[in-house]
Amino acid sequence: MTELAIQLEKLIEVGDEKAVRAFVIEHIKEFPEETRNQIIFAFFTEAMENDTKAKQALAGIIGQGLDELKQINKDLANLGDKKAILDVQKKIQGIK
Amino acid sequence: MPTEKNSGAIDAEVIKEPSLKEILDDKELGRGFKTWLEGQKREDLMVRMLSGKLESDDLKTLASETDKFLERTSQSGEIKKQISETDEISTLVEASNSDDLKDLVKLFGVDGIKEAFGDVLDKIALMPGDELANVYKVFNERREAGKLVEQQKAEFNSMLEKLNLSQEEAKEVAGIPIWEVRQKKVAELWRSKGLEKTEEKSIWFIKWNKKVWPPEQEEFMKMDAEDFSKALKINEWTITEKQIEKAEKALKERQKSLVESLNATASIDGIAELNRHLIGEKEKPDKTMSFKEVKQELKKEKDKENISREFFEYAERGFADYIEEAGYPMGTKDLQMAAASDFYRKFQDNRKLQQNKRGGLWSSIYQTVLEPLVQELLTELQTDDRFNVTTRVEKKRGVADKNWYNLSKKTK
Repeated sequence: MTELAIQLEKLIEVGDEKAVRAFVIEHIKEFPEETRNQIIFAFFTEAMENDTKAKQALAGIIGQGLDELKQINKDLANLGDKKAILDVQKKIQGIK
Repeated sequence: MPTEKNSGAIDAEVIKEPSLKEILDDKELGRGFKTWLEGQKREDLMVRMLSGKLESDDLKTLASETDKFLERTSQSGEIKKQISETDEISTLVEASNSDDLKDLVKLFGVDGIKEAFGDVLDKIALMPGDELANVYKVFNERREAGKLVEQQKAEFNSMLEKLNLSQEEAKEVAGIPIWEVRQKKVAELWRSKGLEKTEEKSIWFIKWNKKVWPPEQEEFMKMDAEDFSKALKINEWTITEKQIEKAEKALKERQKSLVESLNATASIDGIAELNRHLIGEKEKPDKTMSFKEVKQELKKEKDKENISREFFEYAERGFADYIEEAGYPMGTKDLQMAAASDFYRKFQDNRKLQQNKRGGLWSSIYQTVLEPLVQELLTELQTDDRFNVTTRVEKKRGVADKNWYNLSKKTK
């Protein structure tokens, strides 16, 4: 474990986040059980946090789109009404 | 006092919380409560309770600690139940599209992950700090956001039905690039713009969607739906048939474009894409530790001179008290060294706890790599004169308690 921790510490010093993540996954079985569980937990809670943010962002995007779509539907109905009024006006003018 | 509460509006399951007596009578709960009190540095309460020597304020404190303990066990239990009884782990792996998670599942299996998760939850539930509360919050927020997205998708599908458009038809809107191509473009543009906050991405994503509307719609696209409605109202009495047709055409085009865009956004690929871009991002730097912070902290940690100075300042304030309270006999040099080493360990544990409280992936990795550095410094400190227990106790006690000091000298 000490040897592994020293390797990891050196990698953190010189490497980037991606490389350190890859190293941890590659050597995960070599960590003591408690540390290993802690790391697994941390990976999954991080994913949970990201998924939450993604879902919240997605709900925002879909929500805005739905609102706009509802408004368009209302406008289309409104235009349909106006068209109908114009038709009636035309007919009335024709009668006159 | 036992309390009752509803677990949810629909099931309204009544849960009776155990009393203090029931907690203590239950082997597992009793052990958990003891660990909780130790973490809160209130072992004295347990000792007085078991010896039947409770003091006047103890009952009030015990009731408050029991409530806190039960709230935590209930929160961790709720998360564990959800994780063990559903395919939460598999859906998370799918949604995150993360190779790291896929590799972990390959190595330990879904059940292995669930077991590891439960094991850590049990531990953090009884530890001081906010880690459990943070996980619980995220867990609930994720569940709520998931529900909202599902409701929105259902609403969208019902809207499609009313519009008489199938999802397949909606995808094939002329002049709109297919989703896969668009998604890649979005990803490239996010990267090139260096956008970091989710909200900015969302807003910008919508703006970008508007940009890919067909060119003939350009003027109309400058208005949002609300502005367009206002424009229609202003011209209510002057609008001509031709204008109505033009507006209707534009609205229908926009409707189709929106439907296509929503179709793509609501897909699982959309979630995965957002997820992928969120890896490694920290919107609140004070919440959990980032990779950058681990680098900085380890750099500080390697400055042995600085840490030694911090340690001796800390020792100055409490070393003598510590060895007296811990009851170290002032005997051989080995015993002195053991006492000093324990005190050093206490100093390092306090420092580690500050980062550990924040939780997160990088905090866990930091704790792992810190240990050899802590050990290395201990070895070096053991050759330092200031590490000598007797000198420190002598300094604190002065000449007032010669008997105690003489006793320690005699045993050398």
